[in-house]
Parts: sequence; structure tokens; C-alpha cells
Amino acid sequence: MRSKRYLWALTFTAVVAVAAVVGLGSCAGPGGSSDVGAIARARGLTEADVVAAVKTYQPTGKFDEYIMFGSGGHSGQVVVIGVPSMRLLKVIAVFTPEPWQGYGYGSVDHQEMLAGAGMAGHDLSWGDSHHPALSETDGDYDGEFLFINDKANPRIALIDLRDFETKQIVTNENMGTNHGGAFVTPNTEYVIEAAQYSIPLWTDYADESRYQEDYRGLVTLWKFDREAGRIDEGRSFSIELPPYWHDLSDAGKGPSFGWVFLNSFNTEMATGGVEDGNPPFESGASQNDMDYMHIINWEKAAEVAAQRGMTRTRNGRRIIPIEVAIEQGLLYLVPEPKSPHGADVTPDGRFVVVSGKLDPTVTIYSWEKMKQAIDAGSFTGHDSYGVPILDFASVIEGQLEVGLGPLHTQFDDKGCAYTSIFLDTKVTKWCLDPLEVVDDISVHYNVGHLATAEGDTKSPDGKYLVAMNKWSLDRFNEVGPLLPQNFQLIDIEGDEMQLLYDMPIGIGEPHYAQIIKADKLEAFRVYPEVGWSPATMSLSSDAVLAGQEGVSRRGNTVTVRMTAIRSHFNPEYIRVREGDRVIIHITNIEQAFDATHGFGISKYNINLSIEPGEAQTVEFVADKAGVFPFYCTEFCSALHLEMMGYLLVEPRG
Amino acid sequence: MVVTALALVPCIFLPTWTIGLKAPQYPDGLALKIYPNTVAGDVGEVNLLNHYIGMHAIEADEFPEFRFIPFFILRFLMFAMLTALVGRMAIAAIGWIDFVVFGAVMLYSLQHWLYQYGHDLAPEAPLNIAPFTPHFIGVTHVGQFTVSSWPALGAIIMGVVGAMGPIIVFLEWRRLKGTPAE
Repeated sequence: MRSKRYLWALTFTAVVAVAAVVGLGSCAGPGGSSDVGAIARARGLTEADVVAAVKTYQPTGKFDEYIMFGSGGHSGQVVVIGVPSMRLLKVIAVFTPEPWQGYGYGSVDHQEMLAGAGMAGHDLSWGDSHHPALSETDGDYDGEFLFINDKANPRIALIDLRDFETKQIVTNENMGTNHGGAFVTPNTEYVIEAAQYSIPLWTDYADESRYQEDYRGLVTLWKFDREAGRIDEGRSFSIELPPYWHDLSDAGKGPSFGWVFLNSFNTEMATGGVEDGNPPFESGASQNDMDYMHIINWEKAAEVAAQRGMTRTRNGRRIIPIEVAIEQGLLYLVPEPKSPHGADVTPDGRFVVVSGKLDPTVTIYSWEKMKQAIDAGSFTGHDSYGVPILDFASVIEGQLEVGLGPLHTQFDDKGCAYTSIFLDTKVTKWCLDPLEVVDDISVHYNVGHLATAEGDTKSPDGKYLVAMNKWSLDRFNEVGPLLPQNFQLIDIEGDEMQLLYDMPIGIGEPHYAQIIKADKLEAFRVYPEVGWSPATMSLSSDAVLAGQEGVSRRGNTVTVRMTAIRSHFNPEYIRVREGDRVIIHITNIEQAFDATHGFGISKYNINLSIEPGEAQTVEFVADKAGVFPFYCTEFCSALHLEMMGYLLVEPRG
Repeated sequence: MVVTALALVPCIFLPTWTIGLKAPQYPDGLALKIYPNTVAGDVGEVNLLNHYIGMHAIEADEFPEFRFIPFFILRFLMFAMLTALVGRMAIAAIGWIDFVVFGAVMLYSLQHWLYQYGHDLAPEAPLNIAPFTPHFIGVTHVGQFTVSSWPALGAIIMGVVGAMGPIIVFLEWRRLKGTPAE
């Protein structure tokens, strides 16, 4: 009894002591101290933490060395992040309406583009953006354009990096979803987009009992016209593939220029149906020990597609049928370890690195050996669609065990590679010559893609790695059951990788990102001329200059020519009758850096962002009578609140 | 003397005066560059800001000076050339006096315009401030702006040329005086 009481007393004392220490710790904040050591101690920071802080902190007014373009996942957007500070600079509106940029809130150009980006007769107001691809010249990022795919609705968007705005969205009705895109060829000749889940190709409908007969895979090569700054849909084409599920792809470079490498899984062609007692897709699609990497000659395919009679048109898109692709030598297969994910070409273009989700190795394929086998016609056989299959053992350079669940690989400037390891939740660093693992680092948690600075170009910079983690668990303050994803910045310049910074991404599940040297980007500060149309990147025919303002009526259509300048709109009254069609051409006639104006009309779901020099048009039917204030939605000046006007919609008599 | 004359040639094309405006939200500052025949630089932005205090928009057409200053500079150039060719002290002296009087009038005119712009403020302007006169040379504070007004390269060259006037007159005088003695 006594000893028990003693034990209680001891426990109590211990608890009080711990509480006191914890309490003291939390009370002793950094306060106003400027002693680095004292602050670090008070905040419980280790020396490594302080080093990490010093490596990432950007004082006010200092710019980042790199810019990362990350997918915004199912937000449908692109996130722009400064590296190494990991400051979020912008969220570019791409597949999803976005009010700050006035994207999809009345601007005629945006409305038309988004309407044209609908699929299967539906307007789409979301996308599952996955893989951003910077335009390349001679295998290096050139900083001019950015492409990104929408997995959910097979589409590719094009962003012009002069103003960081989406200019075009192309759709692909022949696919169900996409995944192997957007990736570009070394001079952005083509933007690659491969389907993921196969659907019937030559017929509108077939149920799963006709899977092998009617369902097909597809890869599309979108022709990029750099001069026009647009994808040329007419010169684009697709190649029919077996109905495997296709995953990531990469374009060859250097010696492998002209070829595309594309992974696949579910070569079992499993059709699932767990509700009927069948194995679910997850196991049905994971039975084979080997799946197939597809080797596609895009350069020759482009020549074939240009010939008469070589393509069939479906839903307005030209497709090279699979038998033509085989006969013309455009398509080959090579076995790859079970359910692979990433296919990444080394900077010198000599090897393709493939990682299998369910296999602990990376497999390094030799392009030279694959090319020899293709040229010699030495195949081990053909798949059930007649596609020739190369011999696995004779075309690989080697295999290396890197950890459980390897997914994606990026490179540095010293002949080493970094592979994200999902199940072990780490990044493994390994080198090609000699082929060996040299380091690894834990990441938090469940890493998907990773990106190193210019790490998929022919000349990676060997600086900074960002691990894009699917789970964040205990890394941030809790914000309810839906957690942000975690971008972790890692220093890869030394022999040992060092974790520097965690950046929560609270807008959607990001996938891939690319990191470009900031000085390669040359964005406009203001649009080059007053009255500029971002849609055409030229002077708008609807530009309104100072002195050209006015209102005119023609039948039931009222056209307003308006200017915006600090701090007023001109005109300030828009007088219409109920049921009138209202067209407002509005130009921000300023040329001052950062002098953006907004134009929002109350209760009409209209908001524009009009940057200095920009001309925009908004069109709507004044279907509700009443008085509706409109105002500048960007805090432009001291008299911003006064920058307003009234839309007077007179009731019908 | 020929050098002096030719030094005036670039003055026709160089800015004569610069007025710089600095404020926290304009880290690179704004600048008005006054040339013999026009005013350039961030005129649009300065006018835009000035409309808040009801100041008249600065427009080159409103200044009659811009129409004749380049010809005046040409005139001094001719005087200087004439002095060089003819070598008469009287021409040098007249040229110099003409030049100095012109300079003084122009500085007065600049001061006058600065006063005018700082005082003729529209009463219905959103922001009412007390009338002010920026110094034509030096620093003035207006609202959150620090306005600094300084002579630019054109005026500096003209100043040097002007200063050389008496020297040349003196040399001319000594030469004339000394010749008979030799």
C-alpha cells in the first residue's frame, strides 16, 4: 500500500516535471531575439534545420533560382512554385474556371475555348491535370510553352509562358482517359498523349465481353506549330494500340531521337467484375510477371500518316490502324517487369529506365541493343495483335534493386538517377556506371512523382529534387480528414541528400512537375500594346483606346466600348432594357506594371481580370431587370472602391 | 571655339532636365525627361497619378518653349562658330550674353511651370492637397513621393559651354591686346 502511494507520488512528480519542461519550452519562443543560436534552441531546431532554413529562405525582394510548374491534380490547374523557397507564385487556370483570372466568368475568349473543350456533349468544369511538359529545343527546356494533360477527360492544354495563360485545349474523343502525356519530343515537334483505360475504338459501344475484339489503346501525336503558338489538330494523328492500359511515356533523344517509349499494364486484358465473382481489376491486371513497353517510331509514323490511305478517321481524328503500324515498322514491344509505371530516358538518350510498381528493381534498357534487335528483325514472337516482341534478356543493360515500389526516375549532371520508391516511401539515388545504389532518403509519405532541376532534359542541372508525396499524415497542422499533399524539397548537390522543406499543396492531388531555370522565362511585364488580345497575342480588333468610349444600340443588342484606368471606368452607366443582349468591350488602357483591373457585375456571375494593356469582351443577356453595380475587383488604387458603375436594366413595359 | 560650338549639337537631342519621382510602390521610380523640344519618360503614369490631386495633365503641346528652344541652341551654335571664324570679341561677348540671358529665362520658365502645375489644382479632385511648388533644382516631398529635379546632360554641357564664354572673351581680349606689343 505504502509503496503504491510512493509510486503514485513519483509518477505525479514526473508528470509535473514533464509538463513544466514542455510548458517552458513552448513559452520560451524566439520573441524579439536576434541571436540565431538562442532562437534555434527556443524553437527546438537542430543544426541541420538551421542549415535547411538558410538554404531555402528568400528575403523579401529576392527571386528564386528555379521555377517549378506542377500539376494541380483534380483542381485541373497548374501550380507555379519558386525553388528553393517553395513559395506559391501562381495557380494558372487551365481546365477549371477560375475567378481571379476571370477564367470562365464571362470573357468571351475563355468561354469559347472552354466550350470547345467539352467532351461527349458535356461542358466540363474540371480536369485531372497530371503531367506538365515544358516546350523543348534541342532536348532542353526553352521556356516558351507549357503543355499539360487532363487524365479524366482526355485533353491536352497549351499555356503560353509569355503571359502564363491557357491558349488552347484539344480534346480526344477516341480515348476514354489519358495518362502517357503530356510529354514532348526534343524540339517539341510533337506532344505525346497516350490513352490509359481502353475503350471501344472503331465502334461506339461494346460491352466488356468484346474487350479483346473492340477495345483499343491509342497514342496521339499532337503536332505543335511553334510559329502559331498552337497545336495543329489537322496535322496531328494517332496510332492504334492493343487494348492494354498504357501508362507513362517518354521521348527518345540523342541516339534514340525519333522514338517514343510507352509503358503498359493489364496486358492480361482483365475485365474485372468483382460483383460477379470475378477477380477485381487490381488482381486480374496483376497476374503476368511481365508487361510490355511499347517502342514507337514517331518520326516514321509522321511520314506514314502523311501518306494517302494509311490512316482511318474516327471522330474527326486520323488514326494509323494497328496492322499498318506493324507492317510499317512503327510499333514494337519489349517485356518489362510487372505493372510498370515510369519510363524515363537518360539524358544522353542511350538508356530507358523502367520501374515496376510491384517489382523492387529498375530495369535499364539499352537503346543500342533494342535498335539492333529491331533492325535485325530478331523477335521472340508476337502478341495476339501481331506486334513483334523483342527478347528481354538481350536488350537490357542491367537491373538494380532500389526498394519496394519504384515509380519514377529523374537525373542529375553526374550520371546518377533518383527514383521515387512508393512503398518504402523514400527516394533512392543510384548511378549508371558503375550500376549501384549510392544513397537514399525518407520522404513523407508515399511518394509519387519526383522532379529534379531540368532533370528530364539532355542536360540536368544536378540541383534540387522535389518529392511529390501523396500522403502528409503528421507533417502539418491538422485541417480535417482531407489532408494536403506534401511537396518535399531535397538538396541533391552533396554526396548525401538533405531534406530542406515541406510545402503543403491544398488544392488537389498533384502528380508530375518540371523545374526550369528561372532566367529561361521571359514573361511580359505588361501587354506590349494597349488593346492587346491574349487570345490571339496581337492587337485586338475590339480594343478601346482613351476617347473611343461609347454605347451604341442595334435592335436588341447594346454594345458598350469601355476603358478602365485608375480609378474609373468610362462609361460608368450601362443603360439597357430587360432582355437586351449586352456586349461590353473593355480595355485596361494602362501600361503600369501590376496595374490590373477587374470587372465584376453583381448577380450576373461575371468577373474579368484585365491586366495592363489587355482588351476583353464580355457578352450576356440582361435577363433580369434591376440595378446592378459593377466594380473593379482588383484593389488597384486608393480610390479603388470608387471605381464602379451601374448596370441599369430597365423593366419591360 | 569650334569644339565649344560643336558641343552644343548634342544638346539639341539630349535631355535638358530630369525630374525623378520615388515612392514605396514604385521601387524603380518614375522619371520625366525634359528635352529641348518635348517631355518624355513616364509621362502617362505621372499624369495618371496627378489626376488624383487635380493637376493638369502634362502635354508637350502646351509648352510654347518646346517650339523655339532647339532654334535658340542653334543660334548660340552659330554665334560660337562665327566667333571661331571671324575672331571678333564683340561677337563672342554678344553671343555669351545672349546665351546667359536665355539660360536664365529658361530656368525662370521651368520654375514658373512648376509653380503653375503645383498651384492650378482642380477643386473637384478626389484628393485635396495644399498648393505646392517643386524646387526646379533639388528635392521636394509631395504626398508619398520624393520629387528630385536636376539638370540633365544637355543642361550640364550648356552650363560648361556657358562658363567657357567669359574665358574665351578674356582670351580673345588678351590676344587682341597682346598682338601690337609683339
